[in-house]
Amino acid sequence: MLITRIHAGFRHFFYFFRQAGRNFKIGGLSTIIAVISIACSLLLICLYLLVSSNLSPVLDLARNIEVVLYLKENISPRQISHLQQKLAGFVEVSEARYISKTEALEKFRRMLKKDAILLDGLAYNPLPASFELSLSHELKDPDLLKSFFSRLTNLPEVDSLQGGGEWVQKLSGLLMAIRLVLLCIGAILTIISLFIIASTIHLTIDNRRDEIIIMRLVGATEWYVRFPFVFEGIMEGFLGGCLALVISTVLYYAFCWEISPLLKLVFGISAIDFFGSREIFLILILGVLVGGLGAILPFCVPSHQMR
Amino acid sequence: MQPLSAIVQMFHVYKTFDGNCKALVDINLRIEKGEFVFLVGSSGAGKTTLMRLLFREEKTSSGQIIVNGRNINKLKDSHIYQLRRKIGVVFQDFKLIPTKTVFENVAYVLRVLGRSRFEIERKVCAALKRVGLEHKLERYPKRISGGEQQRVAIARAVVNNPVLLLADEPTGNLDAERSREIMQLFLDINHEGTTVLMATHNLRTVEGMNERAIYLREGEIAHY
Repeated sequence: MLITRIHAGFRHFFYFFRQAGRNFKIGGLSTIIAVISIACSLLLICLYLLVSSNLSPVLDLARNIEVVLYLKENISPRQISHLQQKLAGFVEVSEARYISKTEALEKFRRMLKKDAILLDGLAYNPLPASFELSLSHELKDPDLLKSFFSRLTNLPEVDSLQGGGEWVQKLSGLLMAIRLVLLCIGAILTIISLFIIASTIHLTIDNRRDEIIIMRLVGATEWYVRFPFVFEGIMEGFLGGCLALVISTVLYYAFCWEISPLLKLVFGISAIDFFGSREIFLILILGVLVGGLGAILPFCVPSHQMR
Repeated sequence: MQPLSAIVQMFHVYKTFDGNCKALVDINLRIEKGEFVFLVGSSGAGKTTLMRLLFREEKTSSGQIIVNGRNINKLKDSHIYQLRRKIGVVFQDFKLIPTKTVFENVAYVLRVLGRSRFEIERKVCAALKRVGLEHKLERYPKRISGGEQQRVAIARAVVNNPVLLLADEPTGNLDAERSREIMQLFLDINHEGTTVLMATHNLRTVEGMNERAIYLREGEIAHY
């Protein structure tokens, strides 16, 4: 009995698959439009994943950049030692290095190399003493970073602060905005593709109305009637996912080639990462879900419901 | 002689469309297993509506219908297929799938039920032999005559051995000679034990046969 049922299940499965393939071919242009619309929405989600996975390390990198605290003139060694202790007490600071006025000038001289001779004409050392701070890796929230920087600039010995705070915050905001825009457009396009698939399936249902009537008449269960259409939607979603991945790959190589040197110069990123198997699986599953759901929608219309 | 038992019972059945259009009014009838019954009436008398109630294509406005021991008013939508697997239906316009061959049209019923290829071949060939079309298995519906198309529809209706065969004006589109052949086919099927309920507007069809007839007039039973 069980074996007979399993056999029947297999027969039904192959029937659904064949029927879905047939519907897919008959669909023609509307099927192609459905696949392209899914591919467009999934492409945006691919871009979202690419931007997120590649710019997040940039943000982390930016946070690792040292912050320089310039000290006021005429600070006593006692005040410097007191400040050093205070800075060491901050959990946000992993390391604080004191750079005296003389060291700062030496450093500058080394930077200028052969032009360092220009500095010989100076009557006094104009460079201030400073503290170079390495920030803790836990300090990821831009708001926390901002409040920490304001605490630093309020210290009485500190004249000014130079560091990544402002642009980390800007970069973080930009990243958030890019993510949000991609996600919003992706979501809107996903909903649009859902309806395009639904209307494609709706057309197929209309084309096969007589056959469906006969199927129901001879005792087909509602799922037996629906499954070929759901399979068709799943196939469209899967193909849309594949197309999105192919386009992303092409864009990745074109983009990577062009922009890699720039990214290396600005952010110090040596290579842009592509998707891992997890992301590829996610995109395909998303395509399948959108396709399947879009195919179920027409059956929620009363004229296509069970009778 | 076997004791009779009802295969169809209707109790005070009413069917109203769009609120006030009365299609059936207080229908009470009983059809025994193995009977051949005509449902006679002019166009608009309610024959098709009554048929459609029996395979739950329509629901009653009030009243109860028992088919093969089951109250079909209480049947959930998702369980209608169970009722339809016990009933064969033949229409005036045949309702064959034009893109499938004669064999595939008949096999469709068994495919839906998940039968094996061997069983499908055996039963479909037997059904087509029964209607005299075993030599036209590979033809498409458009390549055979109207009478032959109706025979295919009959083969499809009986291939799963239904307990009840409903035929709605099955000879309506056929000439006199083809009609006689089709009627003989229904009689043969009935003699093999299947209950047949046939709707017709043609009194001549009924007069030539020695079977019970139920007359419908404006949705009401006129007389048995």
